[in-house]
Amino acid sequence: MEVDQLQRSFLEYTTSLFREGFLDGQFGQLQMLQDESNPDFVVEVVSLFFEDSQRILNDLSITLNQQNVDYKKIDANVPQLKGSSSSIGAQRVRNACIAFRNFCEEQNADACRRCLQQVKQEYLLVKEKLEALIRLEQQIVAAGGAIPMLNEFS
Amino acid sequence: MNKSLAFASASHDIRASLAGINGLIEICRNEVSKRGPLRSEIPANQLQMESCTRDLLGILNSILDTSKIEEKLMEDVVDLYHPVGTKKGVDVILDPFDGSVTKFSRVRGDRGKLKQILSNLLSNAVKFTSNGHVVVRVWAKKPSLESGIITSNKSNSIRCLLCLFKIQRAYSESEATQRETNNRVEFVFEVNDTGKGIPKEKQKSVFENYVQVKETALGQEGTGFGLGIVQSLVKHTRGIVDKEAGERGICFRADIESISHDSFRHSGTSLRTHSLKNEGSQVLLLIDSPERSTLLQGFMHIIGIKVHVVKQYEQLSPSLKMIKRKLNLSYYSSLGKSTTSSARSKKEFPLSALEGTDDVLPNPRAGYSGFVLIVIDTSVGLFRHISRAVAEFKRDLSENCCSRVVWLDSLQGLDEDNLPPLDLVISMPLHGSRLYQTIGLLPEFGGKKKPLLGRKVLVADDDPIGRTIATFVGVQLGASIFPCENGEEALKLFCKSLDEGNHVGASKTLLPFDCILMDCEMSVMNGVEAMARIRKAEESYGVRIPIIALTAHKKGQEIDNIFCFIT
Repeated sequence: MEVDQLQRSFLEYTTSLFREGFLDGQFGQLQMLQDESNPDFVVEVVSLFFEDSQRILNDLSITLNQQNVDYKKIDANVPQLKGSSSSIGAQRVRNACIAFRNFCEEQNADACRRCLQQVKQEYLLVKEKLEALIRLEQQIVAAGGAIPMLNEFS
Repeated sequence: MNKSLAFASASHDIRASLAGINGLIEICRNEVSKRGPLRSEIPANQLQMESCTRDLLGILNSILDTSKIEEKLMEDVVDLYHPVGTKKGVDVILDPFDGSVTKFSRVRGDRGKLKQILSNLLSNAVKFTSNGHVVVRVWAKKPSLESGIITSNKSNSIRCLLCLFKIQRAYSESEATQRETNNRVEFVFEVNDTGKGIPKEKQKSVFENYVQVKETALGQEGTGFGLGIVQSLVKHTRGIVDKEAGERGICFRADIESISHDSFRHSGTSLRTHSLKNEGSQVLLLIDSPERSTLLQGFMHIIGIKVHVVKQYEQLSPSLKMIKRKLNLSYYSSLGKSTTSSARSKKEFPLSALEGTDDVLPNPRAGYSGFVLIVIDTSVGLFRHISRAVAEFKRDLSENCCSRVVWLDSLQGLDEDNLPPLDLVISMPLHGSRLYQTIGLLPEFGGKKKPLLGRKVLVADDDPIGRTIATFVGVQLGASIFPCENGEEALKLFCKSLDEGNHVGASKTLLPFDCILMDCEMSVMNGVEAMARIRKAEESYGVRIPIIALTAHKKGQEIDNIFCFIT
């Protein structure tokens, strides 16, 4: 595929992700940090996010499946996920975590489980989107082009 | 009244169109360079197109008398004649001289005429020089008000008479003189060549029309008009005060009103000659033309850069080795005894910002050693050998030194894809904007900004992504980052470093870090507690390192707690 087309697709896709609230300005900042001397920065950070989130989500699932839910553990894990999703700009995941935290304080097990589902869903969605974005990036680079920058966003 | 309004609006529209054309040409240029122009003519053509639009703008401005003598004007003229000269084996060089022209780049004058004069002079110079070089230079200075014979400080003893033209303005007389004396700048233009000179007896008359030096043994042709045109241009151009022909060439002085230059930003191509504290940068020059080499060396010396000139490519390798030896020596001497401390494995830290060293603990004394800019003309020798020497230099260069390579590739034989990504390739002659671009790579002149170079920062954050980003940004800014997963690790690292710092035997305790970034909420000892304990540890050593506490909490109980802990 022509480099131009790929670049345009990339820009359109990124714009839509911002518009739909999957990603916020923080992700834009990360993209801007990437340059020729660090061409894999975004991929590295995103991969780290996937690993870390998966681990936390697994832990949370286990904790909530216990007879006696250990709210302290949840209280320790949810902020972590909130933090890392903020750092990467995964806005919807972060918002879901905030809701989760509130129910955790109330020690409402059912609500917590529902929240966990919500967070998981948002995570999987953003994971899919980010993977698609990275694939596009790699295609552009393979075709010999440069990854275009979006102008200042939010 | 209506006429001037119409004039103004028409000129505005023309300017807009010209700006549009210029912008579009630049976009085309970027497009072409992105696709890899290979050996196409397009970039050169586009540069000439840009030059033409600048000329149009100049003509427009001269009608309204608000033109500027940009640095680009000199560069354009010289670039125009450079290929012609090269064909004859004559190097056409724009000498930056002392860089004074960049300080006064905004002036009022007649751009078109000035360009014409320069073109004529240059064309003559190239025509009548069969080998060697033609040097064009311009420098600026505040004019002296006395008239008289002023000897130039160049050894070719050109003497110029100074007489002041009054620049007509619509203001009152007194105002005009006030303005004039404040803002006037004198420019001296010189075109020298190694060709047959103009014999003394002919020097005055050569400016008349039709007169030409008759020694045409080599069959040098000319219309005989060239310098005559210069004469009339000089007479009729406001501000040009005098011209004089000397043994080695022609010089003329232009007394021009300059617009105060601190009321606006310099253009991107100008050299910011405010040098920051000397960062110890060095430049190595390996250029085919000895004259150009000498001139560049002189200029860089004036602006405070240390230059090594290599005359032949065989000397490249030994010169590089010597530079590297000196740099590494100064780095290792500052390491002191710390190299004997235990080498911790890199795995203990999730991200080691200290790639390539075993010495993981922060070293209080290691600092920034220097920046080396290597400028090499690819025509000096076999590229294979040259690039090998450069690669050898970069290998084992101590990590506190940076280097950058600029290839002067006039023959356009370099394949950019095979070069390391940070290398710069310049295919036009190294003067004017390209020279400033090259110098701009040095840290003193706005090169890659590493404001935190030599600084050590401890980062404590339990979010791995936050840690990664903080480390990355810090490293990009030149700092050494020491990431920790939690408060306990941070405390441990801090105390250990404080200890080590004291064993080096200094009378004063050396600070292990310049700053600490501490996330307040962490598992396994949160930030607040860690901070309190760090402060306690500091007490016994009498130091106090700035700690920046990070928290997502808004004003409230949590924040108050933090302040309670830290007295």
